[in-house]
Amino acid sequence: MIGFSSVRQRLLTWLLTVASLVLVAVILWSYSTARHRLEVDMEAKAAFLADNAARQIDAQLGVLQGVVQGMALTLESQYRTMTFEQVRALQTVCLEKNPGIYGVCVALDPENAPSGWKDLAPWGHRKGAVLNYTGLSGDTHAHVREDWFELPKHLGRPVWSEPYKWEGVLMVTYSVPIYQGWPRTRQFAGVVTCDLTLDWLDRMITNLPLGKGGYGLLISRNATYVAHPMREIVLNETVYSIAEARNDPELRETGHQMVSGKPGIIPFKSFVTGNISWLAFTPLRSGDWIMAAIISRDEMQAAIQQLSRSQTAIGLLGLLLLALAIGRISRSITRPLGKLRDAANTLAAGNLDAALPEPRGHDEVAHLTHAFAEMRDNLRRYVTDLRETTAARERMSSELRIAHEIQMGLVPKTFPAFPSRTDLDLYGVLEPAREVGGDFYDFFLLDENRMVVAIGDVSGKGVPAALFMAVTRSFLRSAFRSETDPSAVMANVNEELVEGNDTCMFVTLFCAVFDIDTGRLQYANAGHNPPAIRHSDGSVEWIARPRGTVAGVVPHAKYQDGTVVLSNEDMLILYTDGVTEAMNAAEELYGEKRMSGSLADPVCGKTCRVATERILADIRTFTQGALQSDDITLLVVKGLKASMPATAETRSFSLENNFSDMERVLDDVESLLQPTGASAKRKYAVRLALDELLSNVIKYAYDDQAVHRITLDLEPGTPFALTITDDGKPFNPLEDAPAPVLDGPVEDRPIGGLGLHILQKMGMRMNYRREDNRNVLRVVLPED
Amino acid sequence: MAIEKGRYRDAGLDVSLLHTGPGPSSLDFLIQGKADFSTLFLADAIFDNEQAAPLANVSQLSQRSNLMLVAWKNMGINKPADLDGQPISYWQSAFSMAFDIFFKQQNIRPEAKPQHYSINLFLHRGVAACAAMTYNEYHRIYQAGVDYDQLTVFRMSDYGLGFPEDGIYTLAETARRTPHVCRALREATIAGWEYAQLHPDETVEVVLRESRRAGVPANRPHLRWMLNHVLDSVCPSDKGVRRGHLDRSAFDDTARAMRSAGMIKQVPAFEDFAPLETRAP
Repeated sequence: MIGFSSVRQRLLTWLLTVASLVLVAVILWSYSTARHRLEVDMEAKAAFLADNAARQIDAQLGVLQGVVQGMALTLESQYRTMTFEQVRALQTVCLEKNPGIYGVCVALDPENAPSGWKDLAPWGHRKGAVLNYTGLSGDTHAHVREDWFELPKHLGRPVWSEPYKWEGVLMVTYSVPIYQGWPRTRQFAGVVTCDLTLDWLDRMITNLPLGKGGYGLLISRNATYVAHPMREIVLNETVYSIAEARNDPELRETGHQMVSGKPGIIPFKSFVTGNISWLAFTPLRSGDWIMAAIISRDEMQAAIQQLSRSQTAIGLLGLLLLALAIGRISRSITRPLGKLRDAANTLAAGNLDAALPEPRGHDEVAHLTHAFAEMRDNLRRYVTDLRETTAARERMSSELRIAHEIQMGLVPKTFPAFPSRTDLDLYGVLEPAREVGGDFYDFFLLDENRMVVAIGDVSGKGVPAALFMAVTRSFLRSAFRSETDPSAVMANVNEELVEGNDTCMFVTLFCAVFDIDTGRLQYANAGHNPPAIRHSDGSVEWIARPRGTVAGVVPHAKYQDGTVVLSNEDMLILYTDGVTEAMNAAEELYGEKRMSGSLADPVCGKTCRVATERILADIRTFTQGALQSDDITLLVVKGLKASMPATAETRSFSLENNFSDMERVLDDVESLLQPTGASAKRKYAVRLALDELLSNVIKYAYDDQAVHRITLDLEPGTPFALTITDDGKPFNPLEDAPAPVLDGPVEDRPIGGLGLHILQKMGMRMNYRREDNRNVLRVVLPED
Repeated sequence: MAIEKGRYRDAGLDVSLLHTGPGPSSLDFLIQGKADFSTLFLADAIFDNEQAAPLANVSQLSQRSNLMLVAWKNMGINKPADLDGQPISYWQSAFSMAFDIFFKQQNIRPEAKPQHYSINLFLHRGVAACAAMTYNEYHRIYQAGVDYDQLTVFRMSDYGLGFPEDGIYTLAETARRTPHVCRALREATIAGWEYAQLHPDETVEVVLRESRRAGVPANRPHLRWMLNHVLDSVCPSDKGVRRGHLDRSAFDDTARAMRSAGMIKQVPAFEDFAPLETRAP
């Protein structure tokens, strides 16, 4: 993979880059520092050597100068009186005493010369090892045309000549003018000269320790080369002629600087070596000449560059070693890391037995490997625990499911519940919040005509509530086996629940006995939500009383019965607080208002199932998917007795307990039935029944002579029914009436017994109950 | 170069060159018979012709005047008038009459100093001006480190005093006796100059070699300079100038000027002075 992702590449790149930068910096710094130092040293050296050489030359020339000046002094005062021979002798002595001097000359101005001189310019000089003499004047006075004569004459001062060659010998002449006529006049008389050969100069300059590429040179005031490593340019060239030949104006300028009379040091490209060099020059104190020393900078540079090259080579070698070392170290890190990564991959794939690399050493990688191994072991344990826990939970979950099945089995779920009965409409739902819950409803037939309906809500949720609910249901069912009054049943159930109730759970309970024929509902309420009655017009009435305390907590709690009569358009709705306390996301409760609003929908009047589902739908809409916190339980009951007339059609008659009033009522009833289209058979049966039963009441119900009212309720619907209510002593004609005497004269036989026999034979069904200190007898006529 | 290239040999002449020095001059050599031919400035030849011995011009080499006065600007010399009263060195030969005429013309009374072989007096600032030949001293001064712009220059030719200079002379006698030799010498000499003009580098090298041999200080730039300037005189590019020939009007101008200056009594006849010019080749 290209890129800087691997540790090794990163280490290599960064460390090598940094090391290289450091190396480069060090080399550059040391190069420049060394160069600077050396430059300073070289410059100083060049200047020093130039100066030193100049002083040495000065010493020599100075001697010469001294000698000539001495001689000039002497001759100036003496030459007119000295003989030629004496002059010659003087010259010889001078030469003997001063081995450095090549020649001595005394040259007189012909215009002012004394007579007697063999030659006007006698010159004593060496010729090899011996001393020689030459007369320089000759007949032509050739000496006057020479510079060494002319210049002092016209300049009026001692003059060092330009270097020149005399008979192959390189030399220089110092001439001092002498005058006569002192003190009165000063007339030029001639010159006294000394010549100095310059071979020693050449030797001295050649031996200057100026290093490789360095050399010394000497130039005259005209910049003519007096001494130079290139022999051929001595005397032939000046600095300026060299500059001219090389077309080098800088060199000409250098020449000007050199003859300026001041010492100096300038950078210089030597035409001898071609090197960049320093030129250090200093003028001689005698002779106007300039001594110069040239030291090659290039040589110095070469030496420093050699150093830098060595440093670079060593540095590169070091970098190479560094790279190798980095490679090794990074490998020692990345190898175990790579193995760890492989192990991690294996682990991630699910294989908890992945082999981990052996930790080596005590560094971070080893620690990491240790930690990794620990993690793997922990993972293993964790996974095992998890498996066990999951298995336990699954078991639990399946057991809960079974519990749920069992609990649902406790609650009747099949609808229609009594398919053969057409006089009952019943529907219930139980939607538990969890798998099992504390709500329940129950219904069962007590007898052919009476049904028990019950609904309950155990405190709490979940398994404990479910268990309590099952217990409650059992107690309820078994209580109804011995009692039929709901209040008694409730008290019974409460006692059973209280006993052994350590957990202080309780249950709200509503149970009722519904008379299917009459629509009469007798009920008891142990702290449960007031059931609702929906009338045919959609209005809702709540059965708020009586309402006793919750069951299972208070021992010996007492309950009261309540009654209500349902018509066959009325619907009884039993529910738990899971309905009314259903919450939406805004934590608002569904409430009784909404429930009754939902029930107001005309569609609810159709069947109990429709009504239940309507309510449920409304709850769902309201909660909008908020979590169900409590069990939702509904049980809706509706009696469908055909003979149960609408309450508006029931006709009530009232009569006093005497026969004449009875006759009146009988006539009223007959006239009532006339327009209804009732058959003759029906009319006859009604009259007969009323006659018989009312007579019984008049005759046998009252012991006193007071006037009592008797009520007759006539239900001319289907089924046709009449109810006689009186406030006499308890008298159940079905049981208390004397037995019929079937023989004997008609007028003597008490009517009661025989009359009832006939009525029964005619198919009338009779029903007696004692209620509120009244006898209530209900007769249902057979179908036409 | 004529010798170098064998021109003389080809012409059947055996020529060797003698160098003079501070001692006897080339005229002396000629008169003493040590040389058959000699080089002289025209003015000197006219003078010597009258004063020493009849001479004949074999060939006029230099057609121009290279004479000049070179002065230090920073000694206050910017125009001729500044030379008045100043120490000036110049040669004392006959051809220096150009200077005398110049001074007279310009109303200058200089402090005259003799000038010999060096420019050192001038370089030492012992004189305000010195005589120089364009082809020699002027450049030597430059090679001694003096920039041209430090100098004020008075060329004699600028002042109408441009008299021709070097020529080859022989005794009139010799010219009468062996005119063909003279002519051959002239031809060969001119051929040599023409060769030099065409091969300047080779010429410089040859002269350098000879200089070294003679121990005379010489360097290439200077020899180059000399060759260029001398060629200007010997082989000028103007038409109408015959190389190697003495121009009659130039001769007349020079001779008359000399007579006016009182250097000669009378102007020699051109035919006598330059027999090769008039005789049929």
